[in-house]
Amino acid sequence: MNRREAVGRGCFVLYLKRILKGLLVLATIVCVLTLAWQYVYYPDNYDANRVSGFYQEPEESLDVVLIGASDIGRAYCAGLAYRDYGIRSYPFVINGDDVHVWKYQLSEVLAHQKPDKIVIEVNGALYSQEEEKKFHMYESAVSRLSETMPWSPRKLRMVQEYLRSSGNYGNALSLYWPLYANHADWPGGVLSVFYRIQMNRTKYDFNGGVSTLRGFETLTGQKPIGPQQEIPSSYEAVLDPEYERALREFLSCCRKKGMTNILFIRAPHCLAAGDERAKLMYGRSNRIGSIIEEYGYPYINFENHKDLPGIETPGDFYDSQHLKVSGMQKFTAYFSGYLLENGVNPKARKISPRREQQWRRTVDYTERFLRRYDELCRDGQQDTDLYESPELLETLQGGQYAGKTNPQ
Amino acid sequence: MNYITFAFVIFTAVTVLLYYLWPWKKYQWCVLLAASYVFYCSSSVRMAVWMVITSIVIYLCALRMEKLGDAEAAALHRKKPDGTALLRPEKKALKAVFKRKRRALLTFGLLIIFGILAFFKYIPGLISGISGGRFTMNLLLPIGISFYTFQSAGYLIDVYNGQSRAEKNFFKIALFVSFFPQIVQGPISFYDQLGQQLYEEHKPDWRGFKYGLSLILFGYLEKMVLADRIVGYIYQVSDNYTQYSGTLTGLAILLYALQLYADFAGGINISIGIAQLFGISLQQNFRQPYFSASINDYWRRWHITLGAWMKKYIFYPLALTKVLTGLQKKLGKSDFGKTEFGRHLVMVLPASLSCLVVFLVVGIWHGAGMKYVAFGLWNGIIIMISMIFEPVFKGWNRKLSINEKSASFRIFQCLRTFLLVYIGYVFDVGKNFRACLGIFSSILTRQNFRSLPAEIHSVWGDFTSLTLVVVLFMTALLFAVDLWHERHPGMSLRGRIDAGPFVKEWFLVTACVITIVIFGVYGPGVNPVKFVYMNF
Repeated sequence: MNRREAVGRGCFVLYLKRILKGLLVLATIVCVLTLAWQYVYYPDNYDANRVSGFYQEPEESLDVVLIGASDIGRAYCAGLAYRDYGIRSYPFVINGDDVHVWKYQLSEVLAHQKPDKIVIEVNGALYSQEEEKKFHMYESAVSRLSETMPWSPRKLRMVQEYLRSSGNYGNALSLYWPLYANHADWPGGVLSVFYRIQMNRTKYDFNGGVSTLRGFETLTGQKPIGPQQEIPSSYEAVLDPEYERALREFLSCCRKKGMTNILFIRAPHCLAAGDERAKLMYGRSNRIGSIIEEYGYPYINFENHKDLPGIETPGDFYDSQHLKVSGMQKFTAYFSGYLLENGVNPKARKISPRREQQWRRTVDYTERFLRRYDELCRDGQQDTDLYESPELLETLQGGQYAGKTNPQ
Repeated sequence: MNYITFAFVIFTAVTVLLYYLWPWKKYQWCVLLAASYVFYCSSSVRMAVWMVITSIVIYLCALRMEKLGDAEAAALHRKKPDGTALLRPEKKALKAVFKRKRRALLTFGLLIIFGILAFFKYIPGLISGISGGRFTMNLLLPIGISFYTFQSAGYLIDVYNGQSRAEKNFFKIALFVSFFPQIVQGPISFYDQLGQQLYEEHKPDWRGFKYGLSLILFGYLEKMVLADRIVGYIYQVSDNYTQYSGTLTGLAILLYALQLYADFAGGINISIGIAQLFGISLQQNFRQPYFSASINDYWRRWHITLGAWMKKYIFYPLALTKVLTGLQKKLGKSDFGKTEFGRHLVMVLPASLSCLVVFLVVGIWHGAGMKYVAFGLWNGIIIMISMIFEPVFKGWNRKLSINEKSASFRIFQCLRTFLLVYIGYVFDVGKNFRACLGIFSSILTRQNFRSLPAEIHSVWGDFTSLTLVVVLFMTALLFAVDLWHERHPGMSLRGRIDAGPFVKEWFLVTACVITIVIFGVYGPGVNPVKFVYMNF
């Protein structure tokens, strides 16, 4: 090798070393921040727990996956559905879910599960752009999902689509990199950080790697619900143009994918007198059925069929938009029966004894959860949010909540 | 465009890339000029007009002064109509004429540029003060106006004194005035130090990049993790000091000492680091100020470039004026002047009086208000006293057998100086002069150490153990870095780390980045806290 070649090679090696050193620094930073996000910052709310719990479910182990907002999240209980009907389900649900993210949620479901039925509650298609400007449901849905969805091209596309349609590029960093938005959310003092790390590390150990309550969440007590307004079931209201466009886009996407196992529903709600928004949503829920049926998908509007599960208004409601536990029990029983008659066949899905054991624990702790709920209601506790948390699971281990589990 | 935004990071990265990829190397500086104006106009296009006016004024005045200088040289060498050379008195008269013209131009130029500064900085306060608050004038202060005005004035004076040649290219002057890394809060540069660097060609330098980036990283660490974290606590107490104990107020001033240093030094580090990415060296503005042995020493370590500017353009010219030298001579001839103390006083009188004036100017530079005047006078008087009574203090040390070179005496000096600086900080923090006096009174008379923890808990509710750990850690880090530099004068810690094993460097860089990401104050809902000196 002559001198020039030697110098050239030396330069090449030098630059290569510099690049490698730089990459090493970058890799270390990324690793540490990923671990920090995973174990320190992981959002501690029921949406995050529900979504992350979905990804803990073993592949192709669910018979039913529900997509939608809190309406359906509090209306259908996976533990009771398994106990009484053998249906293994999971609510891939976020509060204020929006139709614009349905296709990404569906893609996530199809990427990890092969359910007999995908149930979509249509609340997310009933909003309007004015409401979006005020309450930012779309933004919130994307934000909540991006906090907990694992990195994938779907997640990137979801964020990109939101940014393009909203023009809200100022939020881009928070959505692509949730740590940017949440880095100040320290759990408290220094010692509580270690507690938090421990909790996040052992989050799913209680039920052998999956969530215990399978995403179920409810609130105690009942909010005042006024007299109901009588609206004819033929009353229809047009959907917001943008939301109708997004809905049709979603339905076309389902058709293109050849999806035949999707069922759209509208969970039961109260229609309080004087509540114009409730009336509008009701009208839209009637109109949406014809759009859905245009694409060949079934739709059940439980607003008009509360009698089928035997739901009483307002007694079975927590507030005008959500069922309380009594309503949930009725709805879960009826809807599970409906699903069994309409394509859901849990017996055809073979699961291992270990998975069975996990579901039995889910049933056991769901029952304990309900006893705890009853206890809090008897004590007059109002609006206490009950969802799977280390503190709640520790409470439920108490002997007073144990009972005879009655598996199917 | 705030330094603490991603937009600024991307802007800087793009500018660096463009700078080195620019094909016409001779005009590489044009990239800096364009970037500087983009940076400035991103805050306000209207305010950029004042910067342009300043550039035009100094450009034209400097050119004209130089032309007069050339004309003077030509005239002095010219022969009289009869072919004989000019006589000495004739040359003297000619020089005086040209000097008067140049001085008029200098005065004109300085009046314009300082007039603009005074208009924005002092007129609104004056109008409000004179009218008793009935009339107010809401004027947005152009960013960095004090800094670029002083820098421009320095250039003009240097050309007047013949220390620099006037730049013939207007755009180069525009760049000198507007150079974006330093426009927000300095450092203030002299033309002969910065000018040539700006215009010459620079090639990418790996070490320069590394040093620059590491300094920028350290600057962000100081600003985002420490300064911005504690700024809210300080003003929560100082703005409402009557509601809190003197102990808490005193603690808030202590935090201010920390916050101001971290904010200002952090910003300067970012500025110097960015300049280094372009291969341009800016002057250091801080040299471990809290290790100062005296107030005099402190002002040679704090805001060094402002002190250097004041020294060059105010202190020395003032000390050499006929008034002060005359006073010096008069005192020297008196009986008192023949005593030992008198002889010392004669020596230091011009300097000490000049110092007083300089610090009065420094105080007024900080703002229009009694409290700033008081701040300036406080520092000026302390320096004056220390200069005048230096022999007395040395005598005390001798009598008490104090070893002035010992470590314990050095620590005493540092603590003493810090206390004096701390008192000065009260003038910074108080809303107005009356509030400053109230804060002093509160600290001295309303002490309650016993209830301090409870008071902190109730007033600064979110001051958790984590915040305390972060603040203590960052304080220890700044102290350690400064201590290292104090014990290794002339050496660079960055150089030492660079020369060491890669693992150490890798660990430090990683730790810095992670600390900023996790503990930095930024994110949605957080307004980037402006640098303190951006308002000057």
